[in-house]
Amino acid sequence: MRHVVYGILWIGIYLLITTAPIFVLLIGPGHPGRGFWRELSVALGFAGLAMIGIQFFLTGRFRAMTLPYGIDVVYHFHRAISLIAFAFILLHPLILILSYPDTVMLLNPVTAPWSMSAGLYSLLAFLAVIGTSVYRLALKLNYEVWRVIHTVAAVAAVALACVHLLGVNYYVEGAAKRGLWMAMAVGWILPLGYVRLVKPLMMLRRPYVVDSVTRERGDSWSVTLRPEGHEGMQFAPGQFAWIRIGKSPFAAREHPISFSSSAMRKDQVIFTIKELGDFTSTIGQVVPGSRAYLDGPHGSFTVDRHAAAGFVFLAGGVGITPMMSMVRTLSDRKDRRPLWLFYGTSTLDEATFQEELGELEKGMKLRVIYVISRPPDGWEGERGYISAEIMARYLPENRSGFEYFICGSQVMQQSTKVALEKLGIPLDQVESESFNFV
Amino acid sequence: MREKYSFHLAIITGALIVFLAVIFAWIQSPDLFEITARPADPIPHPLQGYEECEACHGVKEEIPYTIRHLGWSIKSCTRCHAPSDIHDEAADAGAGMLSMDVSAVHDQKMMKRTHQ
Repeated sequence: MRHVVYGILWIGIYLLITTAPIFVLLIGPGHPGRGFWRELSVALGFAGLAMIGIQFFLTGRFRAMTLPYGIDVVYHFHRAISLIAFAFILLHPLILILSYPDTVMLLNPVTAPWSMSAGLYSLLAFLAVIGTSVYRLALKLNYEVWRVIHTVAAVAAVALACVHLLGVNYYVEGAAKRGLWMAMAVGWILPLGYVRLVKPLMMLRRPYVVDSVTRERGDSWSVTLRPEGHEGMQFAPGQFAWIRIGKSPFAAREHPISFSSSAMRKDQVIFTIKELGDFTSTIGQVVPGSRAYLDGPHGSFTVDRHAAAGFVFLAGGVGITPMMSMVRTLSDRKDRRPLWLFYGTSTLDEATFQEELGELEKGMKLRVIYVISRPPDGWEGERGYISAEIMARYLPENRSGFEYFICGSQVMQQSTKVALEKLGIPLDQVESESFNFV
Repeated sequence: MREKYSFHLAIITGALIVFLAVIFAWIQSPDLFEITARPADPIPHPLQGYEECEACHGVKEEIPYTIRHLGWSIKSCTRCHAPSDIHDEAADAGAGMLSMDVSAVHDQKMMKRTHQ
């Protein structure tokens, strides 16, 4: 209930802050209107800038703000609202040009005033932010490079947009209004300082040491960390943390990785990481004894938020990791509720945790169903991909009373959701998580 | 599922902002197809002999204009700035101060001025 109240409160605050610029425009000395379309364009420009500015707060990993929803959901909202804000920012010049064709000349940086050029460059910086985020994989940008581009371009875009609006100087005349916009611009950038400076400082007091690095099936590695000089981290099974391996918590290289260990053990945490390129391809070379820092726990993909009669886990490839954390935790808690784990993988050899899952099946109400897309000769288990037909063969008739967790690629998530709909499972009983944050 | 709700919230936020932006634009400029609610300042001198506006007007010229005028073509000045009444009257009186037909470049506004 507390989460619901805080959840509604934060949504209210968000809507208030994003719409405030439009109301602020009307405060103070009256400005003569300059035509409906021009004013609409201006209002969308101001609102778009405020929306982009608040993005820094959404990605600031403030626990109080993300707790009611889970940071993964906040990041999902961040992605969706960024596209809408960018559409507004793009509409700002488009409406002007379509309604007043002469204004197209303001796009020429040679002849246009500096304030207009600042607006144009701001738009290009926003384009870089959105383009590199939406097409990161297609552009083959690794996570670290993308993150630098994202941060630098976003700050540049907001700064240039502020230069543009102060330079045009319509609706922002007067020390109070100019001061307000300047303060807002500085305020937007503050969360960056929190994430890049304050949080690492806090992490410095809670270091971890790499205890072991173990090879797993499916080109994966399990990295075990031990807290050094503190009691460790209390997380919920299925959650994740940003992990930095190295001497400094201020290093730019950090990655969101799901816990795979049981939440019942605070003396160690395990992350299981598949070699997928960039940072992950070097994880096997991490030397035991290395220092590590964790920012977390984060996320709402956990059984602990649901009082269901049973749980159904649907994992694709390395999507098994958070499921493993939940199964291990439920086993440690001696939970007697029924569990089904549908594990989609290309070959049986690549099924990570295969042996341990076999052991866990003996000690709890767990049924593991491997769905193999390239099965070996003589394979008598399920073939292909996780489907409604396969699930129907194993799940009981009262399956609509269970909570469903999906973790895998976007394609796997979509097809599995369709399969669950076919089975009549209400979508509000389905939780999903990608292993690619961007 | 909460991801779906967050997507819905993003759509609702966007729709709310578009709605408020339209209301704002409507308050500022009630006439949807009006170019400017308040006509730009009239030109306080005759046009004949002064056809090259930028000879005197510019951000750093003798008679400066505001920075937001930059980027507009020289031919576009009279789209918003019409000759003032005093010159019209002088022209009507045969004083010969205004012979350029500005109605060709700002038809609508000149009509409006006639009605006033």
